[in-house]
Amino acid sequence: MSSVGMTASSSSSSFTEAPCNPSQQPPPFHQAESMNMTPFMTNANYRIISPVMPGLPAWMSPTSVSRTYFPATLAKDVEAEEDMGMCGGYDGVVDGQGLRTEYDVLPYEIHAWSSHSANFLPHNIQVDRPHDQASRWSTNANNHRQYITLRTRASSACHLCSWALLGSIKFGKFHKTHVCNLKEFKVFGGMNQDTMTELLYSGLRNDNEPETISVKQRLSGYYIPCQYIKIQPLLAHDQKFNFSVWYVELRGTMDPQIMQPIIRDFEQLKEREVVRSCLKFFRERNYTDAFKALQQQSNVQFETPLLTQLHEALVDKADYDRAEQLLQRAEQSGIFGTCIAKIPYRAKWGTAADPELYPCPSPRGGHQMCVDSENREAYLYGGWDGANNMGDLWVFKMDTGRWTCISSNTRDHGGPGPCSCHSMCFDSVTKCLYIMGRYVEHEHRANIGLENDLYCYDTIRDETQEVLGGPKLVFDAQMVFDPRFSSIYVYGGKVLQPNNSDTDYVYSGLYKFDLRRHAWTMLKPDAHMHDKDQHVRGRYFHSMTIDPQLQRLYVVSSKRDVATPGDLFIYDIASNTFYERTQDLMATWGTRQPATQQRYLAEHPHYTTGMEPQRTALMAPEASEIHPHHVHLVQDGRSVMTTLDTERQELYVMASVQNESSSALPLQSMMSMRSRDVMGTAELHAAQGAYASYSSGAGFLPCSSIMDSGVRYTVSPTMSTMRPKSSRRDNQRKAVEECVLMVVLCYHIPTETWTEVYHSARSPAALGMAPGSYPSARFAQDWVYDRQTRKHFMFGGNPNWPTNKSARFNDTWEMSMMRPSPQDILRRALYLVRQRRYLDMCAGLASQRQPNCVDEIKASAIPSPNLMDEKPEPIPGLGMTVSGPPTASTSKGGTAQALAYLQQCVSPLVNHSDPSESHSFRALSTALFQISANQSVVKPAPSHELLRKERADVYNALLFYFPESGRQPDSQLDELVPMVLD
Amino acid sequence: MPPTCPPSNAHPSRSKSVCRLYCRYCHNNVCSRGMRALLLADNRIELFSTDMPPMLRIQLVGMDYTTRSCRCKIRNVACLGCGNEIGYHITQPCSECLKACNNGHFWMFLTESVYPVDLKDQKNSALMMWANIPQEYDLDECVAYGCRDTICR
Repeated sequence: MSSVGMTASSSSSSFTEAPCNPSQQPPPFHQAESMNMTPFMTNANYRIISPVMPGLPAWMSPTSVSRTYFPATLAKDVEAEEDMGMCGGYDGVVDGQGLRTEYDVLPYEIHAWSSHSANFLPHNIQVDRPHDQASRWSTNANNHRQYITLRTRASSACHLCSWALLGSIKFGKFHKTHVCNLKEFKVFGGMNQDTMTELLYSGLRNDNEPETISVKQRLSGYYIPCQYIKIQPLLAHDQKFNFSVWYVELRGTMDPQIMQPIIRDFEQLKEREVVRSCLKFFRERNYTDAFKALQQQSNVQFETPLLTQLHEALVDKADYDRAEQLLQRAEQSGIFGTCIAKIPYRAKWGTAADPELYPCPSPRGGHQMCVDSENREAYLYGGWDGANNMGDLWVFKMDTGRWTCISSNTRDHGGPGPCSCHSMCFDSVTKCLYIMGRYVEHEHRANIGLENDLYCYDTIRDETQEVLGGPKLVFDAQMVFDPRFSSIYVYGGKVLQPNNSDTDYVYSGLYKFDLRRHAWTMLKPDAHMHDKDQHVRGRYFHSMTIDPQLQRLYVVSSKRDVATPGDLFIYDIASNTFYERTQDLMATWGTRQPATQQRYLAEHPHYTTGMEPQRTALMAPEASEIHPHHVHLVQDGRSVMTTLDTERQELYVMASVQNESSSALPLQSMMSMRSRDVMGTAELHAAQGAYASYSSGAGFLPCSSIMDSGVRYTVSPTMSTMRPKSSRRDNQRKAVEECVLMVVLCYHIPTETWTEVYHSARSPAALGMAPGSYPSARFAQDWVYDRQTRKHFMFGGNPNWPTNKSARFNDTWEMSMMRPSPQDILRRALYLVRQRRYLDMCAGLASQRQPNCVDEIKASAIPSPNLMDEKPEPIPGLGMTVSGPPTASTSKGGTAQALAYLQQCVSPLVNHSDPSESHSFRALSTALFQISANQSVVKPAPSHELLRKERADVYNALLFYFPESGRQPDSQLDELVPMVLD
Repeated sequence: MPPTCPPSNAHPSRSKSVCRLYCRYCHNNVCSRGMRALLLADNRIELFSTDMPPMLRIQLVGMDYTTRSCRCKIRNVACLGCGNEIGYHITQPCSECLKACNNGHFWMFLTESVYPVDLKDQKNSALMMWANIPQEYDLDECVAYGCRDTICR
């Protein structure tokens, strides 16, 4: 039972950012980075939607004022929740523990503004009159210099009381669409007008619904107190028009008890950062005395002691052996853990079940799988084998890789019988399977009842029973089980209607089934497709997963281009609130493609020796070529699946879509079929689920993101005739032509970052390498996540072969997510140091120093990168120091020494199979020629300062491998101080 | 002027007065060549029309649509000053409306959104008639594409 009252006991367990390797102790200075706040409640760019629920009795519906709590997760786990879950809402239960304040509406006054036109005065935004076209502030220009500054108003004389912590901003709108609505705007906040922090960069929809959008609340983990809030319009929905803001409501807190510590902490943070920036500046410029004095007097922790030592060894003394020693020590103490946790995963696939040992389920697509985490078993039910629905139930043992058939047709045991595109979830408390919904062919809809049914299969007692009622019969819905309150949540899917006309599509809303009371509750109403906005928002290519501890549902939807992350909805069960992650406009400035491990490691750390050629050549073909970003149509097969790792707080999304190049043929057939009302199941499964979004009149409506919805896609005959041409070219280029694109993305919830784990078109298999070690791309598959081994198991799917449309898979794959080991990070770090040392040698400097012999370093610490996935073998040169001719300063001796060092000490640290690494390594050898050049033309040796600067660059590059909290600030003091000339 | 326009001297609208139109919401001058007109599909509805819209003051917004009264494709016109919709533009007239006696104007302003100020002839301070508008009058305001878009037949 979910209602407002339960808010108090909500989302109790505050999580911390899980270190990437649980066995490793996080370094002591890591604590400051830990996240103990629910991200979506304190982060910017969430559209907060508290729906009025028509399905609930009046006494249960939420109050008109939406509530958000601050901070959201301080409530402790309450035992009495069980009871509350049973009895429904306790209104206003607030537990006394911790800081917990409701957001208030903050009073404000208009402090300043850039301009206004006609009688659209800025003060109009303080009143919400959606039916009055004049009740707004409108600028008299549409350039980027427009702004309006609000100032929070103190209720009493105390000046401290006028400082506020801003939580969200509500933007009211006109009662119909208006071209002056803000498509893009920024919000800044701060304690005075001159120094403001950007709190939000977002946009409003051009509709009549007010939008409440959360703002950024924290800077480096500290809350940002605001007195002035500046809204800067950047773009109107029609860019020729001036900007209008209709109504602004600020929500946050001004409670002095909360604000005083926040202000104090913020001031301290500011001072500390200034001191740290100064320290960095002093050290960089070698103002040793000033550095020491400031460090002593301010008592500010500048960086972790190990880094101080490293700087001293590497930059000040050029003692490379000592630097290597320190890096080894860093590796042993586990400092690299934080760095590794930021590196995107790389997928490693393997076959999970051997069909020759045990029988396997027959090939299929559109089936459902769910997992029993405790027993490490996965259940598989139903599906479509290319011609028929299936009704068999299987269980898969994850440890042995064995499939067992429980029932060859569940109908014989009172079950739902053959079906596909249904939804299924596993009740981990009573060990029951719940199965609901199915797809019914158009021609059969008139003959059979379209009541929804929920089936329960008791895996222990081996019996099936039927539960009646619930939402309308849907297909492709998502179903999850909440073990905490023994409830099932069902979201989305398309409602089956007896007379299916093209114009009237209904998408199912969010429903909850309480297993103990056997009662359904509607939490979000169904969406009708004729409503254009709902069409965009209520599309059904999404997937849902639950975090039972935090009592939160995650709904991820897929975009046209599956390789870019789609929209994310978070439903907070306790407060019955939807948090919609709005498109972060900041992110779109850069690349839209999420980072991959390969790209990430090739780009970081940002350090060039001046020897390396341009990197761009290496990054070459990639994204744009393989998966162009142009018009996609809805008529393609696609599936989206999401799993969640509650410990790591990561969502894994597998999305598949029919490939661009291969979609030409089915596309044309779909278009010709459009005139027919009846559509066979075979075609539907060929383009599984795709037809739902096709409507008459407007043509093929794209399922684009909200921000993209202004772009119109049209189907023209030229386009469809052009497609086969491009596909032929693709055929020639690619070694292996796949008809489906399959992508695995990872979303780290606390940092809100998407990374790419796997991309079928970029995998080695797609390039013709290692066939058989990667699964063929497919859609209509399903996967489950095993929490213990952190592996995914995938079964079946539709390869969409042009020659055989009814082909389905029955292979079982496991996917592990790999990250570099700490040893690998150490290797990369050592490489940077040795590279510098080698370049010093080339410059004829090495001979001046007698390197110390380092004996205590164990050579076995680093596995050689060139023996991938095999047992680690010590690098021969590791720990070896140059014992070459100590005083030889002849050119010959210098060259030989440098070359020997390059071959013996640098080369083993390079992963030669990685193109970017081997490239930069090969570039190093050109430095050898410098030696002879130095000989012939007597060049002055590089100055001491220059060399120090170069070593400092290495140091700065090495910092990338250390946690942010323990290293010097990134900011450059000399850039921050404004140049006062004249 | 587009060559497809009917010879204006043969038209009854020559005897009508010319008015400037102002947006009721922001008092922007949205048209300098306005004419009082009646809607072809419904004679009870009064509005203002023009042949040459000043595209620096108004802007087409949204998508084409049709109303119940006829099959003309129209698109709304908003005032650039305040963004409010003050009229519409017939992007594709239907055959019935073309056959009927029309004034050849495809830009309409709603009486509830604009107000008129009648223009005076500078010589004799009488009302300026459509028949004697100076040729070059307001041509600078009329963005070329706005004229060509208008289908006059």
